[in-house]
Amino acid sequence: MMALVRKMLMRARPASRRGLDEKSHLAGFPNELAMEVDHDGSPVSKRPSEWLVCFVPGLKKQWWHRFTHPKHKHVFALKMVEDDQWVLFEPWWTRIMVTTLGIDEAVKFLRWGAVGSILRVTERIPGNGNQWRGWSNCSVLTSLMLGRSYWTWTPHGLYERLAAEDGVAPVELDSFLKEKLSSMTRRITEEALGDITTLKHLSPEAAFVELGRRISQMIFSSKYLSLYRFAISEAPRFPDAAKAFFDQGPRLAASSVRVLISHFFAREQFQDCDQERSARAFLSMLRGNRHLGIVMGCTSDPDESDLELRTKSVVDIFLRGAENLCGCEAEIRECC
Amino acid sequence: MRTSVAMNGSRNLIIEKVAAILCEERAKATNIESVVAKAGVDRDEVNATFGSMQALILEMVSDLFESVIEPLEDHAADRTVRDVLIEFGNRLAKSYSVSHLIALYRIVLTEATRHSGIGREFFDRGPGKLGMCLTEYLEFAARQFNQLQISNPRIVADNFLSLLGDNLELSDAMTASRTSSAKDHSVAVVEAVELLCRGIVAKGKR
Repeated sequence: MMALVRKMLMRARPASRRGLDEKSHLAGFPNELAMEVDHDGSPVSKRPSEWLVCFVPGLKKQWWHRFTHPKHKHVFALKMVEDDQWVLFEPWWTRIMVTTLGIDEAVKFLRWGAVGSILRVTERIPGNGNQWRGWSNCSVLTSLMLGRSYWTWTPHGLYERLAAEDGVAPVELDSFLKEKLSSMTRRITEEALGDITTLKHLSPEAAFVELGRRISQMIFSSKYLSLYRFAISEAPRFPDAAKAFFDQGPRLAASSVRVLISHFFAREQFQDCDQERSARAFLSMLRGNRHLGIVMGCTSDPDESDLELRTKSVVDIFLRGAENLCGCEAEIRECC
Repeated sequence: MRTSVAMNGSRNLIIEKVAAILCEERAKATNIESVVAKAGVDRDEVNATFGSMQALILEMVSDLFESVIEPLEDHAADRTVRDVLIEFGNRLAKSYSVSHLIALYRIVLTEATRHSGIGREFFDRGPGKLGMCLTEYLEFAARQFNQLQISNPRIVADNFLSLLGDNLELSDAMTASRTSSAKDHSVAVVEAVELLCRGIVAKGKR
């Protein structure tokens, strides 16, 4: 159906370059599907995106590699669409792979890119490429995807052309990921934690249930889980990016918990304890085995009511302990 | 019989060699193939003995947790729940700190991102099994000490395991060579047991 819509729009394109807010009337097209198109003939107007174009060596030996640049034997492009969503455009010999990836998956491609070269390139809309010259290999299709004309059929040729353009910048993956992880994680954590000072007016139980709920919703969200997987599995390769995640995520959350522990200790409602360790313990309890199961891909994400129940039971044990668990066996034996 | 003994010897030798490299690598290990190669073990030998690289990982985690859960299976009447939790906790903390468990955990987590299917089996044989055994022990303890009421043994078990694994990934991701003394671990385990049993609220304020 979508293919048909696209085909119809393509046909209508010459007639549709009439400016914004005009209806495109396509012969045989149902009225309810008639849509407004912009001056480029597109149903939605999009600003040009920035792509990370990766020029890479091959992962498997191919016969044509001997004729190509040592590090630029293949090219593909990635762009970030949300904090945790990337689009991959990779021409294969047999297909063009266009798919969305989480950051933990995208980083595999970025690492491959860093072995060769990565350029940050802004696509052109509507672009000035055309397909008269035929033979669409990965360089050609990537050129087309970026809205450039293609005078070169080799990835390295395209690399040289793009690298020479004004406004095109090489990407240092380590610092790029560190900056992204830091800003993304900080935003997610700050949004989730909210204003902690208001919790000080509540009872210890109400305050910890509320803070626990906020932290649980954060750590079990798909965005955070993806960042977490990234930080664990890529820590040896990108230690600064992983550190940025832990600083802006778990450590920031732990410091909020510590603020509450310190507050209730000052009011003599809590025992004297190692506040930092206790804060980490609370976070750890909120994660539990469930979190481990999810990141290992064997348990589904908990729903809201499940999270609520988990949080309440964690707070209960954190504040008062598992009642009757230890120390009463002797009394029980005596009674019996 | 001789073949079975030889196979067992080969199995243990491979596990020993791979474990030694994993202990060295710890947070740096994210790929079992490279670890096996560094250990000087032939890939075909691993496949012949275990069936696959993934099966090797699963055997290793099963072996490790067999010894960790031993205290939970000892149902001697003179041992309190606190004693058992501390012994179990010490064994688990030791596994986290000195064994190749962290490296296995990291490899599986990386594999899980590739959707290779090992995550579920690893979880069932590792953390999942620990949770199940601890839950069963707490249920047993509740029956043995008739009036010992544990409202939800599964949740208590989950919380205790979380306390023992406190910030496990964080510390190891940041400092690959981090080592702490056995004393640190036993203090941390006692603190975890205390928190689990008594909570943080001051006496008289409960």
